[in-house]
Amino acid sequence: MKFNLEIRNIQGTRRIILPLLSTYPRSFGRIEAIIDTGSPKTILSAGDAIRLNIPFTNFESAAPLTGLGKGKTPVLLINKFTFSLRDSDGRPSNFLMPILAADVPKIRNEGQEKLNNATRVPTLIGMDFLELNNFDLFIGLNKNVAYLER
Amino acid sequence: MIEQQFANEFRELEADSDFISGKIAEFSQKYPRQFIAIKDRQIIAIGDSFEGVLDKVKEKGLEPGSVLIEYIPDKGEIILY
Repeated sequence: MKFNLEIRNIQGTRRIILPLLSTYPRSFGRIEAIIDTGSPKTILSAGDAIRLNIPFTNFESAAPLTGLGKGKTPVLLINKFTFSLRDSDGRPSNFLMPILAADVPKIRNEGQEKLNNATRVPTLIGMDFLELNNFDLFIGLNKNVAYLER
Repeated sequence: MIEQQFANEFRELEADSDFISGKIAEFSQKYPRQFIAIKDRQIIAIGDSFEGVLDKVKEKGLEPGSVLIEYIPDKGEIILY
């Protein structure tokens, strides 16, 4: 089964984008996530967490992330995040996995500038996404092709 | 959600995502360091903060989950995660 990815050229740099739908209860909505093989974990961005109305008080804190924006970024663990992808034949597939989400209330407490910076960072698809869901990642920049397969 | 609604959601999401990819160079010229909200292949709100743009989306009566909000980097600005 193949899931096509989008290659986007932003200011001369290319990003690999995965469109997905959050099917998390009461947080349904669209997400554009960036494939980031440099990140061990999948992280729901501050912007997407706000937009999807993630219930921040329902989750426990996880170890803050270093390297995401300036300084350390507080995050929450969502143990059973649910989402859906559409395969290249147009069929939706449902997934469930633990992810980290930017802890927006804590970030906000650190000041508006910190929150402004955090909302510039998109949702990141980390290596755990590939491992937990048995995906292989193929990227052919010269052929302008990228997809997930399992 | 029934299958047809799901299919429509994906179609809309992918169309808006394609729209952003196709227009990103133009957006970078017109809206550097701004956030833009996209729905139905149109810019529906622009602003210099995420929450400001989100407020405009809500004022239009739109469901935030049905809208993509994108930060447009300035020329030469490369964001590392």
